[in-house]
Amino acid sequence: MIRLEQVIKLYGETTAVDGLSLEVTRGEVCVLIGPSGCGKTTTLRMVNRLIEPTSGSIFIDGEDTSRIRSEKLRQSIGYAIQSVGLFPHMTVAANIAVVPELLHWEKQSIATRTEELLGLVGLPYAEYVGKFPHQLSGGEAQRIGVARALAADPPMLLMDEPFGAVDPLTRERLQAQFVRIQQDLRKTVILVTHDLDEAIRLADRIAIMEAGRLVQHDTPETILSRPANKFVHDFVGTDRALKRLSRIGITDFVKPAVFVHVDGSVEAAILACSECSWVWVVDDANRLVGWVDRNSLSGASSVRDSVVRGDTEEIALANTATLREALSRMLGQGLRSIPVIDEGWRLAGQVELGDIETATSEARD
Amino acid sequence: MIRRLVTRDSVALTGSVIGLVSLLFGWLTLKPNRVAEGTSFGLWESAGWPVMLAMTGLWVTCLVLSLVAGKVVRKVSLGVIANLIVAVTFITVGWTSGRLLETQDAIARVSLGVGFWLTLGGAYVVVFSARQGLQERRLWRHLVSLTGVIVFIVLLTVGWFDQLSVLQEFSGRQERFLQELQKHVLLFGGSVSVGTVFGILLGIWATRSRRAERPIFFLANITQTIPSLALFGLLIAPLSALSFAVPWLRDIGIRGVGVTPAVIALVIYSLLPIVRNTYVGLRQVDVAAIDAGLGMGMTRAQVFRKIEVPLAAPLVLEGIRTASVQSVGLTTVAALIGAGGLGWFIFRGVGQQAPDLILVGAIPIIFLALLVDILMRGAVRWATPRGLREGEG
Amino acid sequence: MMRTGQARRWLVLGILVAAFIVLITNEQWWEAVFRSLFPEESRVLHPRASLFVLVGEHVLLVLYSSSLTVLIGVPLGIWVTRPGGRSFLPIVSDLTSFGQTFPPVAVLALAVPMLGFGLQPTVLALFLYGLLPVVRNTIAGIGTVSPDLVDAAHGMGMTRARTLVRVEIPIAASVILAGVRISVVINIGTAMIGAVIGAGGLGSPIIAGLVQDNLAYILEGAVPAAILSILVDQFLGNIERNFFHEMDR
Repeated sequence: MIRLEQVIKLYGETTAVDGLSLEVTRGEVCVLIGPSGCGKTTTLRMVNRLIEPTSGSIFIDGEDTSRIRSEKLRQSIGYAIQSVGLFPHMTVAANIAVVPELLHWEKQSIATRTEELLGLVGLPYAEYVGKFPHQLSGGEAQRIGVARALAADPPMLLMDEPFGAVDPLTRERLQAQFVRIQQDLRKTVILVTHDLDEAIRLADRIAIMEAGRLVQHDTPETILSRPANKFVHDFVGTDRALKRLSRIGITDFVKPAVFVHVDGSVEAAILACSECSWVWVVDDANRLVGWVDRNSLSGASSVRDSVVRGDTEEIALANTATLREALSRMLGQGLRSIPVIDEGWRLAGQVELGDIETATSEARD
Repeated sequence: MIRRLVTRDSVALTGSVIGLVSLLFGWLTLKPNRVAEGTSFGLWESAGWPVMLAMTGLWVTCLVLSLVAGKVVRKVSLGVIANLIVAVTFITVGWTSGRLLETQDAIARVSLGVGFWLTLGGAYVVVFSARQGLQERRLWRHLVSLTGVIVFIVLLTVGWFDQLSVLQEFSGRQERFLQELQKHVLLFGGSVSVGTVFGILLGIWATRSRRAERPIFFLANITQTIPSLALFGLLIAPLSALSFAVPWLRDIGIRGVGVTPAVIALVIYSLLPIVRNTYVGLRQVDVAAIDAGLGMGMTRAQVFRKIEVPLAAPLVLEGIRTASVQSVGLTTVAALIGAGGLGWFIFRGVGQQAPDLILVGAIPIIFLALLVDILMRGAVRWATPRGLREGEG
Repeated sequence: MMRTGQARRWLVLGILVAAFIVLITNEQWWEAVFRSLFPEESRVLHPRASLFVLVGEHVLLVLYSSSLTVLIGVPLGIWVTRPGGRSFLPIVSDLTSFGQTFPPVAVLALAVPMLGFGLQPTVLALFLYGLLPVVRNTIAGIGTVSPDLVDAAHGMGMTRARTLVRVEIPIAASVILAGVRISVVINIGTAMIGAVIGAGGLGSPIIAGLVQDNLAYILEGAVPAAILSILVDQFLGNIERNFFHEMDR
């Protein structure tokens, strides 16, 4: 859908982009990555003609972008940048409405769309619609930036380090959200980042650039297992095996978990513990409360009293998590299995260390 | 212990002390005619013992209140008493000036003495202190600030102060006053408006062109340092020569002295604040917001209109405010070169050695400057988009 | 030590000042130029005093009132930022901002009913009006010193006085100097109008010229005044920049 042909960008004597040819198919997430100054941002900004190429052509759906009026082109491409660039004097709603208004949408359609988008990025409509940018946290602002980019429902998105300006925890959540949204919407995305882990997590294909040239353009698995040259090899780093685990979701590895009810009998709990050293404890709604083991149950009058409660977020994995997270969690907590919860915090099963070991060895080939 | 008492409300204490001291100074000055030296009359001489005792009592109460009394009680009562003092002062002044003139010729004059000014000064220091403590109670705060002003305006309009020399000077010249006032407003209003148009254009140019930036600011800065009278002088010579050489210019009113050099100089002076603020205002717009706007498909003009203008507007208006207040003062000087305006009264008063005529010019000019300042501050507030008003984060 | 850019600025300024002094001591050049420009005037230079004396009067007037302003204004500004004077900070702050809306001419005009004519009211008016930017900038300058810095200094064992002198004032210096510069430049302008009430200085030939319709007189006052003002502004600006750079070290 997006095709770059021998695109060159010169700034005086310096070559920022040197004969880049790249193709991004419809619905694909292409991540441009490389060291500072490799030309990835320049390339991105040439797609929507914020920067004009010195030579070469860019085609979108077969049409040469240089023949379209630049405003019209940009109105059909979503654009989200690292510093977000929310308009400080406009509310969240007004910010999101900018492109639809430029396209002369009806007021009602804009309002409906805004509500949809806020829901999509996980922010309550009533609370956020009238807020101003200075009242938002970094993560919230970034999400509004993405919502704004999607406002006119463009088929394509250009994103420049969209999750860069926030703390690692928020970044992880935003990345998970992006994956979820992309699964729904299937937009064609070109995303620039310097974070390889992010690239591996989000990309369908990664385009590695160095000094203005395209070095390797492949799926993350291929890049990790068959780096094209020394540069890619060094760039990717040595923990490739571990990195690959962040491509694999845990859904295939979730096993049924043994659990008891918090209001259930102590005897039943002890019985359940006989097979495995401990049992998960859930409430009426099947939400994870904590765990019990033989020690905590001995001499206890009820399950409720003896339950070892933990912060669910710390001990449980979301069902959208990757194997890498699972491994990291297990190593961190010193456990051989971790409970898995769904969006409603309900216990969905568990993941075991042994299964991950199997997966890693298989991936090695 | 004493230290704690004294520092409890040192501002109000200072005000009270000033007030008490003011009672020792001359309240009114009686002059046989408008230019002669006068004799000073204290409060007890002009108004009699009862008034003197009452005022002393009020001031002492202020003093005591500032040393003791809990916060809210103190602030409210201080505010009330200070305003009472102000009201009594104004009422007394009007009455005693008439009284003093009863036994005098028609050409005798009464002016305000140092004691009067000190009394007002002390009272408003106390009012200020009371205002500070009444942050939460907005109604009280406004009452405390404005009651004295309202009393003054009411008394002024009913002619209570007409016996004072200032108003005597005024009464004979009302028509002239209105004329000059009108000229003054037209002069500074007109030149600031022209200056705004040019200033904004130059400011925008300076942001777009690195090459233009330096000379624009260099010129604006230099012209700002030139003293007003000197700039007027520098313009008069060439303008005179010009109007001499090209007679039809004279016919349409462009001459060497008078309004023409005044307007040109005033426009030049209003340039720097406006150019600078336009430049800074546009520059401080978040670059990311502009990039996002362009990236979303806004044209350059749309970005300017929808993003840069609303975000730069408050600063630009601040610049216009500075230029306006400055212009009120500069227009005063223009009276010297024959442009008219309220400065005419000041310089005529100087020429005639009649101090009260000077006041007829000086006091309205100060009020005008304050009024312009308040109006423009309101304009700045109005132009500040809601998203920015609450401050950062 | 000064960087070369700074040194060059001082050199250029020095040359210009020297040129200016040469200009005003050589009245005959002015005479010649004015005669050629205004052949119809019988007199082209104001007879009251030589140009040099006029400039001198003006400079002395401004120097005197500005020195008073700095001597009183800076300590006042510092005092209201100290714990002892803190309670006066709001009123002093507000008064100085409020006072700046007053046209300087009006302040000068108000001084006359109080003190009559001549040098006294002019000096008083210049002093009072000049206080405003100086006090305001002193308060603002001290305000730029981060409380953490002061805290660190106290923690190291510096007394309040020492902290003030060695930490706060040097940091505030460039802002305070900016205030002094504004004050002096405004004073030069206001002093010109002081000529109307008999204070002398470069305003007197201009006033005489306006009264007698003599353009040469007007220029005799206006041109040196403009040059003087620009030179003083550049001079004080250079000193300000010096201090600003010192801080970066």
